[in-house]
Amino acid sequence: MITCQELADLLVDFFADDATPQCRKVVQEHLAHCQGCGVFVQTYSVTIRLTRRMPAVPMRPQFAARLLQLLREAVQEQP
Amino acid sequence: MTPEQVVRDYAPRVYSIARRMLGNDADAEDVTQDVLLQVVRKLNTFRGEADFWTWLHRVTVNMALVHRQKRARRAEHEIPDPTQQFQDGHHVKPWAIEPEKQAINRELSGLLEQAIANMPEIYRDVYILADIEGLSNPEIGEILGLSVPAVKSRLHRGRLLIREALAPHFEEVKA
Repeated sequence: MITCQELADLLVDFFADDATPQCRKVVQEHLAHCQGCGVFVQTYSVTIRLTRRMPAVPMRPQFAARLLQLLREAVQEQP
Repeated sequence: MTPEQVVRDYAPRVYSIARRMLGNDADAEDVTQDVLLQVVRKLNTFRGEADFWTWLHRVTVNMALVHRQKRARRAEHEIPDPTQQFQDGHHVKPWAIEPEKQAINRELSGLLEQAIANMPEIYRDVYILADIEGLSNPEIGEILGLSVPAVKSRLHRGRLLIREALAPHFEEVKA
């Protein structure tokens, strides 16, 4: 069975969409026997899921208006 | 593609990446403006949607990096190693949270944004592209000029820093 540190080193691969069956297997085997890592991985997973739901940072309306005007001018200047 | 469509469809994403990488409105607006001017000049040269988004991410990140260098405010400081928290015996408390039910309200959003802003730049850039923008590790490596193992290492450290920032807000308190 892998050590706790080896598990930590595998977490990016484990949470990737293309995680290999072997990676999933060794991580899950470790988690089945290590309560501390289980809690840690659960909080790590929550962190990823919350971040993925973050909204975009809004632009200031004045900037959006200025940007639109600038792009219109750029389009008009094109040959 | 009209200027209105460019502002509506692309500006929010470009601005958001630049704002998170650079940490302030003025620099993010400069980068957004420069990137979108390139968009309107080159829009007809792309072969497809995927090709375009890859290019857009690359140009946005490159311009943000150039902007950051121009600022020359890169403080020389020791970069923390968040993996230390795991080496210390990982005495981690469970979190009282169900992510699917947790609304990303203003408080949580502010907390996450602040944690990202506080992150060392070498971790922050990878973190934004991976966990917010959803790029693959090879794509990020190509954009930032890093090997895939380096991307993974930085992403892991970035996640640990965000996890550390969130922990005090979500850790279960035993009665």
